[in-house]
Amino acid sequence: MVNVAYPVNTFSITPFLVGTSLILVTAVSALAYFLIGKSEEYKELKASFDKMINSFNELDEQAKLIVKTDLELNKTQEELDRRLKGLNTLQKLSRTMSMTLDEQEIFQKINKDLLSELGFASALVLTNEENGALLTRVNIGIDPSRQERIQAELTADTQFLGALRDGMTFSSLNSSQKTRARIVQLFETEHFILSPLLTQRGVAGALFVGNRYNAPAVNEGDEELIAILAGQLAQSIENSQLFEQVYRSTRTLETKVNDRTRELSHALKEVETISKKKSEFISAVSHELRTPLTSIKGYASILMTGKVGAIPDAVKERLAKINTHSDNLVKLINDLLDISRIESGRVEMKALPQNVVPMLENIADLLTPQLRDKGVTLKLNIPADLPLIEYDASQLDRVFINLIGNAIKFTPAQGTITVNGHPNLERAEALFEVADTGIGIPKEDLSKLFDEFFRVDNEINMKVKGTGLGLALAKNIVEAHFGRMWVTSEVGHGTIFHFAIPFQHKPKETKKTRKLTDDL
Amino acid sequence: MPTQIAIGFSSIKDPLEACKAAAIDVKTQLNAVRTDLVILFTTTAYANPEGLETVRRILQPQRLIGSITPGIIVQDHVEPRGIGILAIISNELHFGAADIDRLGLIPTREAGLRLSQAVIEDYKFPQRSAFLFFYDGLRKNGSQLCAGLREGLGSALPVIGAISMDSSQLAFTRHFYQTQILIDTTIGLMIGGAGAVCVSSRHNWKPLGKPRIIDASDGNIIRTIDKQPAAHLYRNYFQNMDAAPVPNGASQGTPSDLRPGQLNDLRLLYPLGIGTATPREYLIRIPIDILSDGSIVCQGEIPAGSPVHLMIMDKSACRRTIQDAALEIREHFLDKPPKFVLAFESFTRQKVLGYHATHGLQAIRDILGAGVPVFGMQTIAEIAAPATAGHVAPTQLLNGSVTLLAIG
Repeated sequence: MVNVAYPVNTFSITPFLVGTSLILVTAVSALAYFLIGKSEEYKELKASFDKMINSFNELDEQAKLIVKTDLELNKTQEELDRRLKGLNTLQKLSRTMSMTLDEQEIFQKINKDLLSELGFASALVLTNEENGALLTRVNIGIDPSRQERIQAELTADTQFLGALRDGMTFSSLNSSQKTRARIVQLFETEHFILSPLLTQRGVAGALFVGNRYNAPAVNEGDEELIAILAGQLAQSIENSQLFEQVYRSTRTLETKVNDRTRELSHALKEVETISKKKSEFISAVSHELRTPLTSIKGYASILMTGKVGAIPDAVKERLAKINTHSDNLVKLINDLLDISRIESGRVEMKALPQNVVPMLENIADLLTPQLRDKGVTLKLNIPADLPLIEYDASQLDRVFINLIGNAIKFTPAQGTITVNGHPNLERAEALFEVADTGIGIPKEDLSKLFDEFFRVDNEINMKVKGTGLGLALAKNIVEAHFGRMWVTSEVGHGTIFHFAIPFQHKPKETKKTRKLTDDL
Repeated sequence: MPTQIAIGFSSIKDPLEACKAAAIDVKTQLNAVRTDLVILFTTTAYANPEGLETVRRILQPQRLIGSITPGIIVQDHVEPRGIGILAIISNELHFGAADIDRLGLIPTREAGLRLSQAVIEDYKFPQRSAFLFFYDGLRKNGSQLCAGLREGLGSALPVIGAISMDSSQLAFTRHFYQTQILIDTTIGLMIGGAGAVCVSSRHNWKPLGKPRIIDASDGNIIRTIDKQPAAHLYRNYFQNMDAAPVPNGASQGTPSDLRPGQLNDLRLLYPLGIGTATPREYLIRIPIDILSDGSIVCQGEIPAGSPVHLMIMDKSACRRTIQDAALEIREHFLDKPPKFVLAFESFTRQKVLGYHATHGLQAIRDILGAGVPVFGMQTIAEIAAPATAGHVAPTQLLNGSVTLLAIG
């Protein structure tokens, strides 16, 4: 309250004061009312602002949640990407590893780039040697002096080797604190995986991969990836070692085969030399025998005529025996000489393309008396379209005569002898068979049948004389025509002699024979 | 003579052999003795003087520029190692090139101005269509260089650039200019003559959480956000979380570890988005360092007072970015295929796309035509005018984007 010391007229002032007071009261009331209103508005505004701040804060909280979720998603994605990349790398590696069986080349495939793609900076591949020691085959990012120490320490650690043999994988994720500390100290890496190289034959070695201290820790995915890599590596090493073994065996076998072939070749040469000497010997002896034999036979014939004086019947009879035996001997010597000539290649085959039918018909005529005497039928089954064959008629007829003559000898009365002929176009040759319905040949004698002087031990052979040279001669003649001869027989049912003569005298070289020649 | 363009690439392990193979590939396609322009992108192992000499000997280029990169864009995919060559022979297109070295000795803006002047001096033709440049990734303020270039070139000329580097760790940069391999340089190329030009730059990052205000910044350094050290923005979102993803085996800072240099992949997956004058449009900034006081260092300039968000992008949006940029070019050329497309793709996108990132560029050829040659590089930052609704924005340093330059 302010005291005013002015003289005032109370009667004139009073109404003024009342009016002023009223105005003031009204203004104050209005102001108060206004202020009360503003205060309400402010409160509303403040409430709205606070609400907005809260909304922003809520938005931020939600953003934190989004970030957290996004990071987790990213983490999963990154892990998935790493896994994909790793698998992709493994696939590439597997493909390249499968392309080689060279152990050294397999190890070369594990390089720095590959390791980096798998997310590791260092690696060591150790393999078990025959003496039990571990040997480093791959070293990426590990100091060579440390490498030697690792090799020595791990080789000496039987417990560790035993664990590897059991297929145990060590890693910075799953190993005990003690083991982990030891591997970290030994390899000088913080994060690692040490996986055995397991093969079917046991542990071939170990694969180590690692990262330094600032790298991310290994996880289960890394362990699986490295286990796959170790498995593939082990498989490749095993394949390579198996290949090496097979290769060595093959080489040994090849050496043995070569040695044996050389020995056989040497033996064959010796046999050929002996055979040649034998042929020459037979030839020489035969010549030497034939000359006096001819004289003996000549003198016997002269004596038999009685021109040098009459001879008694008993002598005549004995001279006739001398004559017959001389004839047999001459035939034997001639056969021997022929075999000897053919074997030594001294007989030149005068092969001409010709039909075999006329030759066979002549032979049939020639043998008709014998066939008739024995009561045996001869059938010729030669097709008309059998191609011409290049052969020496003077030689091949001996083959047929020999075979048919034999058949007559061993076929009982009413039996049949059949001569079949047909072409084998695939081999460009004519196949002939001389089949009889005779007594047959025991199995054990079949392989010796073409040996010189061999005669089957049977009743007929005991009665009928023979040299045992006919079949040997026939076989020699067929082979001199580049053909082949064999026999099939069943005791009691008959025998079939087969032989093949090429259409052309000199057989063409086939792929098979060329390959055989190359191999030799 | 019409414009002839050839792209060659090789990733043969021996760098010299790779350079030879790529150059011969180009030479075979062009069937010419000399070339007017060669643009060379290599990964670190392939940047060697003998290789450069081999390329020059085989292609005999009048002008050669290039850069190292963590990934070379060849047609529809990104090659993580090797050498890529784009060669042009043309009497319709004109080129001028220059370099400014020893950047450490001159102010960045001054370097930009000098580069523009040197390129104009070499170019000599009146009609300019586009300006392309590479800037050393170890230099931290690309925005100042852009300002210098704008000063020299004016604001009407389309400018695109790439901040080069060898990897996200920013440990090694090299540029190729004529016969030399250079460090601490910026290299520019003027393209002009007949033919339309279109530049399209897109990012598709989306804001996350509440907006905050940059209340103090210093060029490319954000000092404080909402009155707190800038790095607290990341701490706010990532502290107390489990370990973040670890892409490609690279070292990874845990979310709670926000010391300088420890952000690593978090900065790539969640960059900063600076609000612009246009609503809902953001300039992306990838932090390249955190200082001891919690300030965040970026490559581009950050104006104080700007709103800032943490940004996020999903895979489908990331893939759509390429389509959006290619569609803009197609519209510009009225469905006629361009002569070639030069692409700068932020390596950030690789972090977002993961395993399939190398095959994300197919959309360019799907939209522009299967026969259009596409060549480019992965970058840490791109320089272009960002796509804005309804008006032309000035050329700026961008992160996390795809920038396409098409010459029609």
